[in-house]
Amino acid sequence: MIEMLEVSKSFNTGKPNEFLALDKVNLVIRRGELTILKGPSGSGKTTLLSLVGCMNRPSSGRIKLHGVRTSFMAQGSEAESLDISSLPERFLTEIRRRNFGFIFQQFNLVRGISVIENITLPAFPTGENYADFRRRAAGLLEQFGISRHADSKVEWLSGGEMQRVAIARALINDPELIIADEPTAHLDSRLSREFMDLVAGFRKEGRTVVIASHDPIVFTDPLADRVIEMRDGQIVDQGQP
Amino acid sequence: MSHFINRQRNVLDFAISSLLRRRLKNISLLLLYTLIVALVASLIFFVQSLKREAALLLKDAPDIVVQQLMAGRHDLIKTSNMERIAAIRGVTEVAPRQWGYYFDPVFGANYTVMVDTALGYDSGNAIIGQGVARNQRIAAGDIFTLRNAQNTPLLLNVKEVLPYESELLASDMILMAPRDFTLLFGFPEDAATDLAVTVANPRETITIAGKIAEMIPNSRPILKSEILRTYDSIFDWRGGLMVTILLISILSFVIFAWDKAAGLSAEEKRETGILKSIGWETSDILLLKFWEGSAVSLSAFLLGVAAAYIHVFFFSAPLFAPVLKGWSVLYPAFRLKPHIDLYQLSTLFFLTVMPYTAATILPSWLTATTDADSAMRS
Amino acid sequence: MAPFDTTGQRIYTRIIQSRDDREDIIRNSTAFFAFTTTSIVILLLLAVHALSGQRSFATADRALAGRLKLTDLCLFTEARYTRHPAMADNHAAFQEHPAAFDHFPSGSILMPPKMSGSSR
Repeated sequence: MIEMLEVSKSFNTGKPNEFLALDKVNLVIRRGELTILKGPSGSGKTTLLSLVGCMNRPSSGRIKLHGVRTSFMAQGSEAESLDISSLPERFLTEIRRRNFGFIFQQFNLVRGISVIENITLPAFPTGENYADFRRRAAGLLEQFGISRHADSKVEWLSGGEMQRVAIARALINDPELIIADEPTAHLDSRLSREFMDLVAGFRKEGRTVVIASHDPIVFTDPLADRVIEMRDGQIVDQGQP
Repeated sequence: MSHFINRQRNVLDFAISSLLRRRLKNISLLLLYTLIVALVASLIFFVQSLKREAALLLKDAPDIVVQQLMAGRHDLIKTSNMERIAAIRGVTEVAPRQWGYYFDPVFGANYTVMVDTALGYDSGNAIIGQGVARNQRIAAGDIFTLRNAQNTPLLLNVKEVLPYESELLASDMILMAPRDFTLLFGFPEDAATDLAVTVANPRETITIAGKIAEMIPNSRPILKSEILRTYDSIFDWRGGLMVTILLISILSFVIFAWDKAAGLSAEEKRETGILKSIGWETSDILLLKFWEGSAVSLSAFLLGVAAAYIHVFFFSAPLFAPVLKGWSVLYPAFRLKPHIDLYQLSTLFFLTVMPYTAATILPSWLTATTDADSAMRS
Repeated sequence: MAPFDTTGQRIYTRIIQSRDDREDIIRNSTAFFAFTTTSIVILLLLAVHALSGQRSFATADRALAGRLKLTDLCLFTEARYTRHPAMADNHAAFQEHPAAFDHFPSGSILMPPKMSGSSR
């Protein structure tokens, strides 16, 4: 589904504190698979995720997407590959919104507004009918057992509940690819395992999942199709089965 | 189309939720904003209405008023000048105006005393304005006293009190017969305060005024257009009432908008990052800020204008009373005729709604263009 | 509660039909539009009030102004030059001395009259 060729990413280019976060990485993420990126912090996992998730563009190399839903490409070209390395921000956002769901380490929920509003946030700018996504959000709340908190403010929730809100938010636009960055960093072992159960569910539904983590509960999970090990901006183990 | 509307409504939904989070701050902001709009709109209503009233009422003012000057100050004019002026071609009527001021030491008020040639009553009777009636606590049928030039009391019967509608013109007036006026001030019988000249063709007014100035040394003809211009300049936006209050409002508004513009908090920046990371575009975030700004400023504008209308036309602008009353002991209690000037209101709209909305959008522009992955790095 | 059923079907498609009571909640945007519309209606009513008030413009006032040949509005009665600004001396705002501070509040909002005659 995603193909990365010789991808490098450096930050603070041209300044004394320039550093190379990714160094000529080649990676293929296949549809329907659970891919886990492991490695110590600073190894480039997050940078790689942000490139996979079209949040940023590489400094060099190419990233190709296959079979993604876009509104700016003709319907017939869906199966074609799409080189996103040089697409403008607007199109990247569009791809991201339609195809990817994100789960962040810090949950990144918006404080002060209700749980249901947090979950529906990604759907607001799509111009979708309010009742439709509101209904979908209600379904997700039910699914994750947090319906009774629908109108509570997010800061009143426990860590586990916040995590579930964050997951529900990632699912609101029905994404094909779910990207999670250190999702279990703020969870205890029981909640971490619960999270992996949810991930198993995504995979069963046919969604592609990419997780970056240095938590053994995550990267030793038997469901993982591939565990890729990273160090110093390079892939040291492609984890080919 | 429905896509467009849905997007606007969805984003507006969030914008309002977002505003309601800082309920106290935003509601006090809205109230302050409404107050400023109400103040400025009140001023616009008040001044426009007075301006209109002045223009309408002074339509029948004399074309030329001829004053006599003595040592650079206003002096009485000899009525013998009347015939000479009447002889000028184009002059249809010359009438003496006898009027003056009377300071009442008991009530501490200034009255305008005037001879009414069409009074309809004999000497010893008077018609008074509403303000005088209030000040002296008298009504039609009562007798009141003025101290005359010989320091003896002049007794006058109140025959009529001028109607309430005439407050704006004649609130402080005492109208009397010529004989009483002469007695009261020791006014010379062959003189008038000034002469009112009526001209047949308005286009000749300036020429005639020039002739009068030449004919009577040290005279000062005052044209109707100058009278109207005086009132225009009182109510002009550059001078007078407008500038006094408008400057204060504009200044406070600028401070307020600046504070808003400069104060994009770390929390707001973080939220922008979150929204970007979950798939909001830069334009979506600007749309959000647009709605946040518009919701506040539009509400403030609508509420402010309505409040201003009620303040000025239902309650006779009590907020401006201190300025208008000033040191006066006798002040007119006029109720203004409602008048809405759409041009002025739309100017106000653009001066209040637009800058505020812009001040909300602009600073977030800078943060809205940050990379979407910034939220991942925090 | 198992979030997914055995066939891997998303179960929230079924939940959609079973539970949705949140449609009756008034949307923020609806509330805002209602508020804005009400305000506009109030303004329109005030505009109607303004228009209807104009017909009753006092003709009696104009008759009085004409009869007495009045030249000024009675706005400020504290001094000659504020009571009759159009009739005041040339340097009316500075009656006592050209550099004197004006001591009436109304003096700060009354401009010296602009008279073309004064140049002669």
